[in-house]
Parts: sequence; structure tokens; C-alpha cells
Amino acid sequence: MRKKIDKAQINTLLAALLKDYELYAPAREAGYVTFRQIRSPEEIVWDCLVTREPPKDVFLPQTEVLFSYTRGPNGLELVSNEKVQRERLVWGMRPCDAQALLVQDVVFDTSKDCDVYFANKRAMTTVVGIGCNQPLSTCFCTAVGGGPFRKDGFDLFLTDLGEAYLAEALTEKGERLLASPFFHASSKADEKAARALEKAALAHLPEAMDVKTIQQHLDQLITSPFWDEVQASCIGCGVCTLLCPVCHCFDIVDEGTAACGQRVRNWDTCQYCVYTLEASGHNPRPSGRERVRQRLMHKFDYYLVTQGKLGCVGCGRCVQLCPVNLDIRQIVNEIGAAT
Amino acid sequence: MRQYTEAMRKEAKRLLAEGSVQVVIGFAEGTLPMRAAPFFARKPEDAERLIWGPFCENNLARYLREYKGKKAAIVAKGCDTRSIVALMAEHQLPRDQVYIIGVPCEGMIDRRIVARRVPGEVLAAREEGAELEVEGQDFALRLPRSEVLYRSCSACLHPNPVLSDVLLGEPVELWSQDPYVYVREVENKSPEERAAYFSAEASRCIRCYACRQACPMCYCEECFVDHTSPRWIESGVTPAGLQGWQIGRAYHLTGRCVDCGACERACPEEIDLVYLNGKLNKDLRELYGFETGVKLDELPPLAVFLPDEGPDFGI
Repeated sequence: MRKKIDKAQINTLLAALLKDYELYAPAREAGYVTFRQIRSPEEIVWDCLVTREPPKDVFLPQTEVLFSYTRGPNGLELVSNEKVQRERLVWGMRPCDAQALLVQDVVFDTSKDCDVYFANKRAMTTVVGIGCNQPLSTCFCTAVGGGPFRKDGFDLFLTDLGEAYLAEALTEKGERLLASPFFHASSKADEKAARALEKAALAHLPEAMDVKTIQQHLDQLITSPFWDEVQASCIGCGVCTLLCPVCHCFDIVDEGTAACGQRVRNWDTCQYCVYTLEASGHNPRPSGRERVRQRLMHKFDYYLVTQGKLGCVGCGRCVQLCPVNLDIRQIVNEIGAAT
Repeated sequence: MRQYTEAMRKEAKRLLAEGSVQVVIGFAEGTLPMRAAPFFARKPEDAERLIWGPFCENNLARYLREYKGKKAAIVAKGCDTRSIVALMAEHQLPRDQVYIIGVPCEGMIDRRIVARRVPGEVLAAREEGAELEVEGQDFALRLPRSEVLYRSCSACLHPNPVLSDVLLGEPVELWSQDPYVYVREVENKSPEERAAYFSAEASRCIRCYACRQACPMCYCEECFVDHTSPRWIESGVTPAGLQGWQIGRAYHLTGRCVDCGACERACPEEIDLVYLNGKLNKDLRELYGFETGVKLDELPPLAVFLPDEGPDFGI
């Protein structure tokens, strides 16, 4: 179902929604815009395409206490942190980040295995997306199977028509939001305008990569000197992976004493030397060569095998934020020549 | 600054053709506006890809540790040469293994300041004399160079290489009178304000360790923060974990940091890192008259033990 909301009404709507939901949206933090919890609609920055941090923290917090324990007179007391208390609303997620969330769904919540912490937050969250009228030069969603107006993964999808947003409900959660009296009927002309915006945005974006060929090339490159060249400038930090909306590796740590403590889950990254360090002291990925290779292989080869999806959604955060300008688009382009 | 590019390529080509070095560490054109990428020329023809300009912001000295036992040439600004000297003073780098192509530096441009000063995405930027010409989809404007420099560059007292085997061009004149202007801004706050400022800055940290990885002086085989048994600080992005990391990192660099700002440039969360190290450097300068990376035979004061210095530690 499609409706429309005037921009002048949007903050009133959000102020009303804040009574029922914890609200997460793009907002200013120091000198940049990032995805974080907000307490007033005025905090939202509407024109930011790629937030510094993706919204993955909403579903997989960087540091999450899984449970805590205390030793009391009646023995050991365990408190689980499995369930969140309030419903959540993510407002203004971009299609690339939603594609990333769909990859994480396959990791954390399948018919066989379910991570209750992730699944609970996912069930408790309504996701409102917004299309990208003016993609950035670092955006490449279309190269990796996405698009600036892809709607899968969203409960409600907004298109910025200038004075108003066209809103399309895609799930029951979305219908619930659309039932608000702040939305009113949209016209055929609005839908036509939305299609024109999509067409204009697509003109700024690159063509689809030949994923099958890239995967075949990668399979032949395990022992190639190509990786020595790629890793030469890599400094081995965690920027590209920690700020990637798809990357979701974690490490579980017990912290505390015999009297009290907690089990904590932290994000981890394959780019750290300690990531694969085994208790024996052996490290199967001992140098930068194996670690940069792992990042590319996982995103453009292994995910395709295990999930039938790429592990890259083309948001361009790693491109923008790499301290040494290692550009994943360039690396992928060079893969063919290196084979 | 672009005039250095030709001289740099010629020198790199000569060194590689002669076989006197195995690699020339420099910069190549970046893939984005306002970026240059660290580049490793290994064959004489690679030298053609070397460039120099106002976006060569990384401290390349951090790569030298990866060429131990090999002869490497490095393109180095003033701060990079100070890191090289500091590494040599700490016996991490033999003088005869590195050939320094020194570049007098006019200060590097802070791409984040530029991005905030313009009305849209920057699609092209080039230096024109004392100005930066910036273009986007619907705008074109000029910004004075002096207004868009990195803070560490604005305050820099060593824009010229302190050590080099060849110097490309004439030394530049100093523009800074106060190397610690950004330290004083924080020093002038009340203790409560300082604590609040530090906590707020540290709270944005995501523990990506880009600051550590970008730093030439963070060469420990195992960083204290990667040690798991025992674990020295909390593992998560909690106040204790983040502040513990920030304090530990800064303290380990006391008298070893050259104020190059590489840590802050690498930080994706734009955390004010240079004031922390700057404060420690300022203290060492005031207490011991010590400046990091200017003399080959001078160790950082905190790395020296003198049996007769007494309980005042020589202050």
C-alpha cells in the first residue's frame, strides 16, 4: 500500500512514534553523521546518504552483555540479557544497509540455528528505508546486486519527492505505521515522480559486476603474489570491517571474578593479527597477505557458496574511510588481470 | 608542492635502476579526490606513478619496519623524517638500510575540514598557489590553504626534513610560532571540563586501532590491548575499555611521538588524539628540554635510566 506524508508533518509523526518506540536514525555526532539512538526528531539529519557507522549496532551491538552472574547466599544467580524491553524503530536506513541486514539474517537466524539476541532485536524492530536520489561517487550498490531504491528488507519505504515523502508499506509492521493519520493518499503522478527519481539515480551508478567470473578468478588466486601487492599498503586496522554493514564476526569473552561478572560479545575482525591466533601459538593467517585475502575471498567468493549472496553491498564506507585509500572497487577490478 | 613530483620520479628511477634500493616507498594518485595512496615502487618503470601533493598525508615511516634487512628508499616530509630518526634512536632501523628522499613540506590539507566547508560531495580538488580549488556537482569554490591544514600541520615546527640523503627543493620557511596551540586549548579548561572532554572523545572509539596501525612508533610485537592472558583492560566499547585504551596508547608514546597527526587522520571517528600526545610531548619539552626525533643519539627521557639522577628523575 502507498501513501504520502508532507515533510512539514514528519517531525510531528516521529514525535508521536517516540512514545512507542526507541528511535534510531542518522544524526550528528561530533563533526559527522552516524546512525544512533535519538531522543528528538530534530536530531535527524535527512540528507546524509552514507552514515559514518552503519545501523548494524541496533541488531548486533559492538559490545553486548549476553548474561551476567552473581554469587549470592542462594548460589549462582544468572541474569540473561536476551530480550530488549521496548520496540525499536530504525528510520531512514538506506537500501545498501538493508541488503547487509538480509545477509546477517542468514547468519544469525536460520531454520536450523537461531541467535536469540539478534533474532529478538530483529523481531522487535521496524525498519523504515529511504531511497537515494543522489548517490555519492563512492556508492556502488548496483555493481553488487543492489540498487538505490531496492525495497527488500524494509517494512516501510520512503521516496523523497521534494515537499513530501511517498511511503510504501511492505510488511504488516509497515502497514501499522502507514495507518497513522499523518499519511494521506498518494497519486499516480507521485508514483511516476518516484520512478523518474530512481531512473536519474541509476544513471550515477556503475554497471553490475560479473560476479561469477570474479568468483572463478578468486578461486585461482589463493597462492598468487597478487595479495602481496594488495597488502603492501594495508596497515592492518579494523576500519573496513568494523564499519562494514555486512561484517558481523564476534568474539566472546568472560569478564569478572568468582563473585560476579559477565559474558560479553564484542565485534571482532579478520584484519586483526589475533583474530586467528590459536591457543598453541600457531596462527594460520600470520601476515597481512592472508588477512586482506580473507576479506576479499569472504565477500566475493565464500558468501556466494554458503549463502548465495555477496558479502559486499556497495555502501562505500570502506572506500571513504580507509586510512591509506585501499579501494575495494579497484582491488576487485584488478582481480581479473591478476589471474 | 607538485614541482617535487618530477624530481622524485627521477631519483626513484635512478635508485631502482642502479639496484641500490629494493623499494621506493612513496605516494601514488588516490582513487578519490583529496586522497593519495601509499605506493611501493619496485621496478624503475614504477617510478612514473609516484606523485607529491597536499594530500600525501600518511606517515610512510610506519612501513619501514616491514622492510627489515632490505634496503628501502622513502619519500619523507619533516614529520616522517623525525619518526625515522626516533626509530633509529630506538635501534629499530639501521641508518644504512634507509635512503631518505626528503621533501620540504608546506603542510597537508585536512580533507575533513574541506568536506565540512563545502555544500556537497567534493568531486575534484587541486592546489592553486595558496588556495585549494574545490569542485562538486553544483559548486566550485576556493579555500585559503592556511584555513584547511591539519592542526598538526598548522602548528608544525619541522616542515623540513631533519635528516635526508637527498633533499628535493629548497627548505620552506616556518609558519608556526606555537607547536602546542591545540594542547593549550584543552589545558585551559577546568579539570572537570577536561575530564568531560576526554570521556566524550574516547566514547566514540570503536577500537579499530587505526591510530596504532598508522603510527610509526607503535611497533610492539604484541600490543598491550591484544594481550588476552591476563587481559589488561576491559575488552568492549565500555567507558573503562575505551578510556583504558586511549590512555595506554598515549602513555606508551610519551617522548616518542613526533606530533605528525597520522593517528588522528586514520581515525574514522574523528577523535581528538593529537592533544593527548601533544600534552605529553609538551611536558617532556618543558621538563627535560627534549624534542622527539631530531637527534639520532638521544633516547626519549623515559627510556633512559641514570643511576645518579635521584628521586626527582632529573627534572
